[in-house]
Amino acid sequence: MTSLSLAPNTERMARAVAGRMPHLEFAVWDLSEFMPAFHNVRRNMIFIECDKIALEEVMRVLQEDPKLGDYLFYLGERKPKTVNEAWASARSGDEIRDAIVIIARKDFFGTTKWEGNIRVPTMERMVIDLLAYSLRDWLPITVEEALDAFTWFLKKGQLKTAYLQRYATRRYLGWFLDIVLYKLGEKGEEANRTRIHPKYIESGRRYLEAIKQVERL
Amino acid sequence: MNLDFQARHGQALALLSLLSKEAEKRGQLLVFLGGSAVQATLSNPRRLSVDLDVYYDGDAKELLRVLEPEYELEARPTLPTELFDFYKASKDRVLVKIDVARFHLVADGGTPYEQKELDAAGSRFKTFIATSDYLLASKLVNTAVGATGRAQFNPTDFLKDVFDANCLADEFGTNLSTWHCFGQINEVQNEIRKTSFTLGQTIQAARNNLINCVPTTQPLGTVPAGALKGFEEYLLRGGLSQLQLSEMAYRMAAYLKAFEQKEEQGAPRAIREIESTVQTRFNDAVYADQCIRGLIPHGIPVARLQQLKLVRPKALLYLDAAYNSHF
Repeated sequence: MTSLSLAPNTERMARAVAGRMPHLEFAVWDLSEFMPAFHNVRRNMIFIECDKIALEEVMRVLQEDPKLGDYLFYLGERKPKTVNEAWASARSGDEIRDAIVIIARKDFFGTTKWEGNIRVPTMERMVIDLLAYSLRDWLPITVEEALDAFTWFLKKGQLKTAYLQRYATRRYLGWFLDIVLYKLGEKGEEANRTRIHPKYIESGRRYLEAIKQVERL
Repeated sequence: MNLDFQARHGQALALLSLLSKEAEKRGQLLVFLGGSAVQATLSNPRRLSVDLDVYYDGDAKELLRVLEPEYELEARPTLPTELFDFYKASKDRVLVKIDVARFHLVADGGTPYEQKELDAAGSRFKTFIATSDYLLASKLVNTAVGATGRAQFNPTDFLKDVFDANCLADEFGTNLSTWHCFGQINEVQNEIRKTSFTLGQTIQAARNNLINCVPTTQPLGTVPAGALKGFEEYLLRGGLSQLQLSEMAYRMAAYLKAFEQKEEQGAPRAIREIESTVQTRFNDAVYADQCIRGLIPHGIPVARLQQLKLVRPKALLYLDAAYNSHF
């Protein structure tokens, strides 16, 4: 398992929330290290995952920070929705505003303690979550972009497939991950072949075959 | 922030400026009171106040003539009383309610006011304004609906009282004079209403109202979400969530518990202890759990207490102090 370091701004936000809610366990991460892998995503997104009873209060703590005034807030128990799109658009003009996504999560599997009550997800959890959000069309990140980020980190050797698979299964995405791994293995790149266990490639092939059968209906 | 409220807030101060000058000319005493006075007292005002409350020891009808013809003046229909005069003053379609009290501010003939220089639309003027201690005490007495507080429970007025009391406590804290004024206001209100509520009954009523304005022992608080949303229009910055209100209301309930137990002399010290405990121990998980255990016997659902611990730990500690005194 590999964990990312947090961007300075994300650290500041995490500490602001932790300072006000010292007993609330929450996870925080951002897309700053994903940026080189993206083509169309130009906006950093900061994710804060916490108990649903704290969602609104976390947003209030962050909104009190005048430096975060131009950020776009997404908030949701399951599907995050923009909170201040109209307001943020009205005052932002051409600038690119970063976004803060506050989501209800109780499951901190695949996160490690970063400081006090702040947790950071492993790289595997982050890429699977990104795939999940893009597949469900919850955030302005296409599946294509999420897959680019996924393969970029996989090629860098920063993802462990067994761990990826375990977390993807928890997110009901095991089938999708297997198909992706199968296609990457099929492309025959050495790094992928050696790193991906044959059992995932085999199940990925079967899933893809099944989808093709459905397509014929 | 509501722009209409902003205009009314500015107009209230402009009216005060005119009335203060006229009262001085007539050799009468006019004291600035209420929510507008609270915000004028604070070094950083936090909300708009759209009404003008004053005490005047002369003839209000005569005094208010100074506003004509610039303002359109109208007496507001109300119950016949020799203790108040209610007016509406409007100019350029901006309307301000003026409440003139004629009863003494405190029963012992004290002078809980001071002269200050205020600003109205860029011009400075001198006026008498109630002291921060008097204002805090009056805001706390107001919450005692059912005793000597406001005659009826109105969620917006209640929010204003709790919010203003917290602003004053943040900036000035409490001292002997605050609690002396509290007792005096209770006496004056009893006299006006011809009631005989004891100090203990007034404290009890205020404490219950503060604790139950948010869901504490009951699943629904007395202040609905709509009133909270509406109140946000008065705020100069930020918003007010139910949990924020919990912290403010429980804090004032804890202060009243300290006053009830330690009386006028001991209350300021007990309140300093409460504040010190809350500020230094709100991040102490063991202490928070201890507070939860202490509050369960009072019939507060564990889920509510856990929510406070996670999201507003200071509110949990204030609530504990409002029920179980550790000082």
